[in-house]
Amino acid sequence: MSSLKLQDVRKNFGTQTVIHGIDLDVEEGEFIVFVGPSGCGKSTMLRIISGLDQVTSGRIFIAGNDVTFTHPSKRQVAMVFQSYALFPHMTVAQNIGFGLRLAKLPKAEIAKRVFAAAEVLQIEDLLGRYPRQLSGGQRQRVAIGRAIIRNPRVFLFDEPLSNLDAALRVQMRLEIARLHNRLGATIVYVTHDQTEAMTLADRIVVIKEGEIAQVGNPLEVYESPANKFVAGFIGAPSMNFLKASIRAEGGRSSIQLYGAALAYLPDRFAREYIELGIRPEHLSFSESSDCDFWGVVELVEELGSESFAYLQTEFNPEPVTIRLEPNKKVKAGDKLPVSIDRNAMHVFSESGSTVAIGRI
Amino acid sequence: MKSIAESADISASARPFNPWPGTIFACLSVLALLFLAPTFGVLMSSIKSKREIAFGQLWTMPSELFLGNFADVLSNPAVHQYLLNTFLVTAPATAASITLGVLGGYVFAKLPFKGSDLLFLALVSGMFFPPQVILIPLFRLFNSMGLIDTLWPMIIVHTAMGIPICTLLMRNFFATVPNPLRECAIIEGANEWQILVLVALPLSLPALAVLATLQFTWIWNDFLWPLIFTQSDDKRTIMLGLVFMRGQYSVAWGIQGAMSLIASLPTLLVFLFFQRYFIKGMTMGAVKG
Repeated sequence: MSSLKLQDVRKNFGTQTVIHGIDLDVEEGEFIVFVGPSGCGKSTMLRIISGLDQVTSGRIFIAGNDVTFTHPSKRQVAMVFQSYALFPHMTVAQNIGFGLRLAKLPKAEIAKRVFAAAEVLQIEDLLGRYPRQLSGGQRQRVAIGRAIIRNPRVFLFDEPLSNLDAALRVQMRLEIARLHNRLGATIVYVTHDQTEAMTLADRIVVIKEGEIAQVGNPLEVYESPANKFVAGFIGAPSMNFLKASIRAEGGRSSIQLYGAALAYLPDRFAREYIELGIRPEHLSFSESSDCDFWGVVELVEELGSESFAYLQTEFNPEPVTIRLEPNKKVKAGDKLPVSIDRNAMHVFSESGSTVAIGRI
Repeated sequence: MKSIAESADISASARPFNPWPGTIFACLSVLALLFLAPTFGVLMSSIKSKREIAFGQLWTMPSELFLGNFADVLSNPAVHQYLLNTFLVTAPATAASITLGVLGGYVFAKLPFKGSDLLFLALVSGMFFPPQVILIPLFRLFNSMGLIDTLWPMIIVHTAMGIPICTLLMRNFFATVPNPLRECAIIEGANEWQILVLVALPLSLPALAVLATLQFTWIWNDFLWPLIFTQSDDKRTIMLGLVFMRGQYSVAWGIQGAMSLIASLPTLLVFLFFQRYFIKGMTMGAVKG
C-alpha cells in the first residue's frame, strides 16, 4: 500500500492554473524530493498534501484513505516550514508539545514524549529556552521535533534548509538523512537545491511549471534525463547544450558540430537541428590537435576538490563548461583542443525532449 | 604630528556655527514649560490652604505643605461614587472595545472574505465622525430605551466608538504575525479560536497594551458623553464631578486641584503598568526581532 498517492491533482488560483494534473505514488518509508525552479508549484503541491490549500480537482490518499477534503490536522501529516514557524512566546518544550497539548493529553505524557523527541534530535538541554535564544540549526531541530512527536504518516518539509548557512546546511542535510533512516518515515521534501535533492532522495520528482518533468532515483535523473529541462536543472555546474545540425548520409544521419561529423544516428533523422547535451565531466582536453572543437579558456574556477574551466567557442554563444582533470593546469586565454566523450552524449530535439543518450 | 584629540578640536572649531539645534531646543523648552504650566498650577493650588489661595497666590510655591484639600476630596462620599461610576464605565467599555477589535482585527488580517477590505474601510471610517454629529440621535435613542441617567449609554457608546481604532490597530498587528505560525497551528490541530488565543494574542501584547492604555485614558477622561447621558449626581463620572465640585458663589481651587490630581491618577497608573509594552508597541515592527 502506498503511503501517499496523488491522483490527477490540479490547482487553479483564479484563472491561473499552477498545478496541471499530477499523479504520484509514494511508497511507505520513501524519501521523495520535489525539486524545481522557483514558482514551479512544488511548494503549492506540499501545501495541497498538507491540506493548507485545497485541490481544484483530483484526489489525495494517505495510507489508503481519501483525505482530499480532510482537515489538515486529521491527515496524519506533519510539516516543517521554511521559516521554522516556531511560536516565539513558547519554550522549546512547549513548541514541541503544542500539538499534544491541543489534543489534551495528560501533562506527564506530553513531557515524556517531548523529552523522547528532544533526545532523538539531541536538544534535551534546550527544552527550557525560547526560540530567540537558539541558533538557526537548533531552531530547525525544534521544528523537526515538533513534527516527529506526532508520529505522522507523512512528513512534509518545505525548503527547510534554505535559511541556513552553507556549512550548517550540509550538516543538517546529513541529520535529516539519518533521521529518515532511524524513523523509516515517509518524507516529502521540497527544495530548489538540486544537491539536496540528489543527496537525500530515494526518488526525485522534477517539477516544471506545475507538471512532473521526470520521476526517478537521483542517478537515473542525472544520467538519463527525460528532457532538456531536467538535464539542465539537475547537475552543477549545469549540462552544456551545443547546437548541432543533422546531415543525411545514405541511410543514416550524422550529427554535425561546427561542420564536422561527430556521431551517427542509427536511423534517418527527420530533423535539421538538434541540441547536444554534454556534462562538464564528459568533456576533456585532447593531447593532440585531433579534437572535436577548440575552445579559449575564459575563466577557471578552482573549487579545491575539483576545478572547472569556462571556454569560449566559435559556435556557441554560451561558454562551454569543462571539468579539469586533477593535475591539468590551464589559464585564461589558453586555446585548447576539446574532445567529447561519445558514450555520454545526450541528444535533444528542438522541443527539448530527449532523442538519444550515450553511444549513438 | 598632531594627536587625534587635537585634530578633533581643530575640526570642531573649524566647523561653522549652526544656530538651529540651540534654537530648536530653546523653542521646545518653552513649549514644554507652557504645556506643563497648568499641571504645575493645579499641583500648587492643591497643596495650598483656602486662605493662601484667597490671597490670589495661585502660581507661587505654598508657604507650607497643606494636604487638607486631598483629605477633603478623599473623604467625600460623592467623589467615591464618581470614581466608582467612572471605573464601572471605563473597565467594561475598554475590555469590550478591545475584545471586539481583537476579533474583528483577526478576521480582517487572517481570514479575509469577499468584500472584507471594503467592510474594513467602512468600519475604520467610523473614526472620522465627530461625536457631536451623533449626539442628539443617540440621546433620543437612549431616552426612548429608558437608559438616560444610567451608566449604560456611556458603556455602549464608548465600546462602539472604540471599535474602529481597536480593529485598525489589531488588524495591522495581526497582519505582522507570520502566516506559517497560523498554518503550523492548524496542522497541529488548533481551531481558529485556539490560534487566536494561544498564538496570535500572546504575540500581540504590545498592541493590546497600547490599546488598553489609549482606551482607558480616553474613556476615563471623557467629559462629553457623561454630560449628555447623566443627570443625577450619583451617576456622574469623575470628570463631570470635577466641574460640579465648586461652590455656588466661589470656585474651590484647592479642592478642584486635589481632585484633578486624584482623577488623573488611575490613567497614570495604567500607563505606568503598560509602559514597557507601550514603548515596545510604538516601535513594533521597526526592526527585525
